Amino acid sequence: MLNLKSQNPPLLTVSHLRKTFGDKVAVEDVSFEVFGGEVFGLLGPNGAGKTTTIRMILDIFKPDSGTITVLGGPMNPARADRTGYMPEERGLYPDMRVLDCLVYLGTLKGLFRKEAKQRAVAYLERLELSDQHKNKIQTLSRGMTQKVQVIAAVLHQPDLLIIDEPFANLDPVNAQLVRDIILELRDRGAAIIMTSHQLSLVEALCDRIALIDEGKVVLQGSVREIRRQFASNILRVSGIGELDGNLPGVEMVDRQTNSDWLLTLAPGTETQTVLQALAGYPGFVMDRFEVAMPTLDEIFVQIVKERKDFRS
Amino acid sequence: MNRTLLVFWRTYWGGITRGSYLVFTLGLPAFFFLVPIAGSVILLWAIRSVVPPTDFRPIGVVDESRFFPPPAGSDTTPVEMLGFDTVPGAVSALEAGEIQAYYLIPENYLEMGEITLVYEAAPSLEVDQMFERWVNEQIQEQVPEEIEQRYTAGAYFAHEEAGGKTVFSALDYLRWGGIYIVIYFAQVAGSFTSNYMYGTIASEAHDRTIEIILSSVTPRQFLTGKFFGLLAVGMTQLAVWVVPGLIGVGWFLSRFGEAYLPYLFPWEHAGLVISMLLGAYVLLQVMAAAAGLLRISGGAGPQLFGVLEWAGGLGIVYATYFLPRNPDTALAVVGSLFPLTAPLVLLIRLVASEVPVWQIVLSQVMLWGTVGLGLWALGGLLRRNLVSYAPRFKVIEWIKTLRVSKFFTTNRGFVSK
Repeated sequence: MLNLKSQNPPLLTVSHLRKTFGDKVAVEDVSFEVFGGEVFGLLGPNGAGKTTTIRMILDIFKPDSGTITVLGGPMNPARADRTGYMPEERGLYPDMRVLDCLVYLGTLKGLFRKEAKQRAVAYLERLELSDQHKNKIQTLSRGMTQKVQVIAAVLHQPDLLIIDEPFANLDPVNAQLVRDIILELRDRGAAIIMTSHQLSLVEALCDRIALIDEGKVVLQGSVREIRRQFASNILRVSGIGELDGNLPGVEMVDRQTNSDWLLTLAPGTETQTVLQALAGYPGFVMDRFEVAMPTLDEIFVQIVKERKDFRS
Repeated sequence: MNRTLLVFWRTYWGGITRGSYLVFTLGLPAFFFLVPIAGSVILLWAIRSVVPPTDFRPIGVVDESRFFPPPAGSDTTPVEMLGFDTVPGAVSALEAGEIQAYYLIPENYLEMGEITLVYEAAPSLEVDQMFERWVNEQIQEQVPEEIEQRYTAGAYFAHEEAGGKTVFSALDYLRWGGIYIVIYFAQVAGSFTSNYMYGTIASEAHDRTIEIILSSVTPRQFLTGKFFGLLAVGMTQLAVWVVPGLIGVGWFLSRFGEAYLPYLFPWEHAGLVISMLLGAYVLLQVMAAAAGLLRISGGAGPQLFGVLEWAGGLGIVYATYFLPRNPDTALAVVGSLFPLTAPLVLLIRLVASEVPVWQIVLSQVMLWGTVGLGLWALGGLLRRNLVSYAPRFKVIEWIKTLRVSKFFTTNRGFVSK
């Protein structure tokens, strides 16, 4: 996933999108690119404009301004066939049988009926739903329905997959099954856009993210870069022995457990300086040393809260 | 397969295999045919269970009026009828147990119509029915055939203006009845389909399935497939119901003769009738789909259709009682041109009057023009309202949407600014 930009053109380019409904500005200024072979997280609080952005990408809504390039051009039927979409919920006809529904949606994506059926059967087996293929969607549990929705989105092996909350209602085992399918598609070179409020999963799965708030992209980049960007001046240190405050550039030493400490650095202190000091610290054997990186959850909350405070 | 056809077929097949649809579609004709048969069987069984068993001894007939011929004897069912010249002879036979009862037809029967039944134990209902049938048959045989026919059919009134111009003749009743039945059943079928159309489109608007569908097909493909699929569901229902209708027509012709065939349906206007009814049917479905797209909640959808049906009911009253006698009033002309009333008013006028060609042409143009306009507007509504959580409907917003949508001219239905 490294150096994607230099290798291939993006499969999706969204540039300065704006969409209003009457007086309400749903999306004000959203721009991002998604490359083949990466999972891109589209994050944001409820009502931030994520779904409207997705609908514009899918050509369900037209933007008031801005441009969208999907798989090399504007959305058209041929490109729509190479796109997969899974809404958060209620994305299947409840009175249809599972297999019939999947075959129908597959044929709408250009698959022949026989091929769609073969693929659907294979996916149902893989997601442990074989015994449900004749049942109506409305009889399935929420977790089962979620898995069927995932199958519907990937059945035609899209080059661009947009999935909204793919892990909702799934237990860890099923979440892993779905995750494997998503990663398999990514490894095939597809671009995946994922929205989720389960940020730990986003962190584990996404290569890059964009955080939207009030219709604007307020943060964008690779997960690693963003976490580093928000890295605090706190170090986590574990080891055997005793640490007192006598460390260069360290303002405070806070012992968490018998073997864990949090060190607060003075402004301008290089972590390398502290690392060297700890390595030679008498009576202390260091097992772990890391910059206390915030989680995406923490970053998300921090940004949204700051913006809210700023507005108020 | 073409995407539009896929949506069409899915809509059609899903529609006609629904349990409620099958029950209703097949049940209605079955109701008309089977219920009377089943009801008769049940009634017969009930009667048999409560009345005493049939006594198979003969019954006597004493005809003091000398109007009736002697009873036919052993040909009668379920029991034999024996004629007696006098009451004492019948009484003796009754006391001897040779007959179970006797009917006394008094001398003044033709004036009074009363017949006395004398018995020790009342005969069964079947015996009474048998005797009554025999009496009626004997009376009918005494009446000249043309009088009997006139009596059975009643009288028709032909209307003529003072100058001698015929306003309508006796057989026009039959023509009105024929076209009225056709219109009525078309409206009933249209009403059922429109309710289904409304419900289906409203649920599409509620579900997010539509977003997946619209990520695969264009709005135009979706709307065309969905709309005509639902239309075909209604047409199938209509076809199923037409079969018993044709059986009824066949029965009518076999009973009354093919000479009546021209009066059952205005064959010379068949194309126009089909065009009008089809146009009205499609227009009703467009309105139902539009109501579904607007996602009228809180029962407002059914209420809307209630108002339409109520207005339609008023139209039927007008078309039934007032229009045939005054087919060329200003109201009738306006009703013939207005798309929602034209299928009723114009078609009745076709058999009741001579409608000017310009009115027929204008009526067609307005009806199908409205259908086209409705389908076009539906495209804008689809874009604006089909997706879940769409903002509240505002006419101004909708007009703005229509202005930019160019629904039927662009590749995916919409135009980028």
